[in-house]
Amino acid sequence: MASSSSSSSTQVKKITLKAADGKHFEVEEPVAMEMETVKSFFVGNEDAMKDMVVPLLNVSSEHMPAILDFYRNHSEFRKRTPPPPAEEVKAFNEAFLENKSDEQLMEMIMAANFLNTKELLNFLTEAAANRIKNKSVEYVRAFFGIENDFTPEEEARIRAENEWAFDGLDED
Amino acid sequence: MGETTTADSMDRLSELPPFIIHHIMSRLSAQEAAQTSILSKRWKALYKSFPVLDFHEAYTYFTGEDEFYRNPAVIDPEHLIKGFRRNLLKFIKFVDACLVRFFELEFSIQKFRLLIGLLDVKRFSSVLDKWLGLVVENRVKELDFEVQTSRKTMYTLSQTIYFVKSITSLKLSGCKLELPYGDIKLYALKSLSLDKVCITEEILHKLLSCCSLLEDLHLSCLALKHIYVSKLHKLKIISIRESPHELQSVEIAAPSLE
Repeated sequence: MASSSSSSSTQVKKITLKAADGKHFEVEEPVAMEMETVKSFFVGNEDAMKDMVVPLLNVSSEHMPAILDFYRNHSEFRKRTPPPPAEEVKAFNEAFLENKSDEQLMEMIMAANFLNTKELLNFLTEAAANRIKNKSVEYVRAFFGIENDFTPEEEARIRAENEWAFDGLDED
Repeated sequence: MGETTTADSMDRLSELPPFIIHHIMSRLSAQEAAQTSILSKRWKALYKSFPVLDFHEAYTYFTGEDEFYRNPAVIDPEHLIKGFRRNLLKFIKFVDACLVRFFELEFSIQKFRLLIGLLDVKRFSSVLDKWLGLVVENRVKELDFEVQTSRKTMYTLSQTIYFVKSITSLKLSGCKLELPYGDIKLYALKSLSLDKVCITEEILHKLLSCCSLLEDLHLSCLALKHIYVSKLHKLKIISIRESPHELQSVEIAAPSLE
């Protein structure tokens, strides 16, 4: 039994999370507890621990594996002694974002917000900011799905009022 | 229409909660954050309440200066200085409008960072005084204030700074500190950094003895002979960077130092 495994991972308690579309995810307890929303589900409700399913109404199952992957890796990074080299963390983070479309990124931000996970939220908002840096106004509008509700006159007025901020930025 | 799904998802996306939008803005430069006000009415309103006011102006001027030294024949210094003045005035107008707006709306300011290069300190010191007065009124928590001038004519820091109970982090560079008129009230201060600040031993000592919560202290290029730090029970990190020709003694009594 335990002799075959050097780690205690086989004994780690699992918690079941239910995504918006009903799909279940079994997650190691410490990983699940990284999310404040899950944690608060159990606070003052110790009996619930064993077999309760935690409903996550605002998180699509599409993003659950990536979110869990993020927390598995980052909690491992935090625990490791000596701490992992910065390049390793950076490589993981870059790979994490690599195949995510802008829309997926925004959906994950909403999910991270609902799950109340500061670390992931900080990471994703920084990624979003990086994607809109040095981009045109139209690009940024498309990125966030913003509809321009200004008249051309209003736009011109904002540019004039904030002359310093718009210096060197092309009108598109 | 086949476009309903994209339209739906777009609506959902544009409804990022305000604090997340502020979060994203905080990862942008001051200029880029300000540019988001042109995206839509909602973003304009959100930019107005963005609590991090981070303005650094100097780079436009100093890039030009580099070019001037590399290739003085191409750039006419008169022209350069005129350009610098014009940019500076735009910058001052922008910062001023932001601060006045924050003050009128009574928004609190989390962080105010200003980096400004001034050729003519006398002319603008009342503007700097006014700005510090406004951010103080808006309960600023982190203040990072750097004025680049020639050594001869430094900006004398407005006295109001000594009496701000809300400040937790104070970073000053390139200004002159004078003896406070009354008791220093920087009770919440946890982090203090003084760089190229004109200060006397007496004022520094007075300042430090009033900040009992201080955890981080960074002193550099103050040109002092003696530095004496005592009774800072929470002090964890201290760094002193001074020229060995000037600094003669350092005395530190801080039990929590790491």
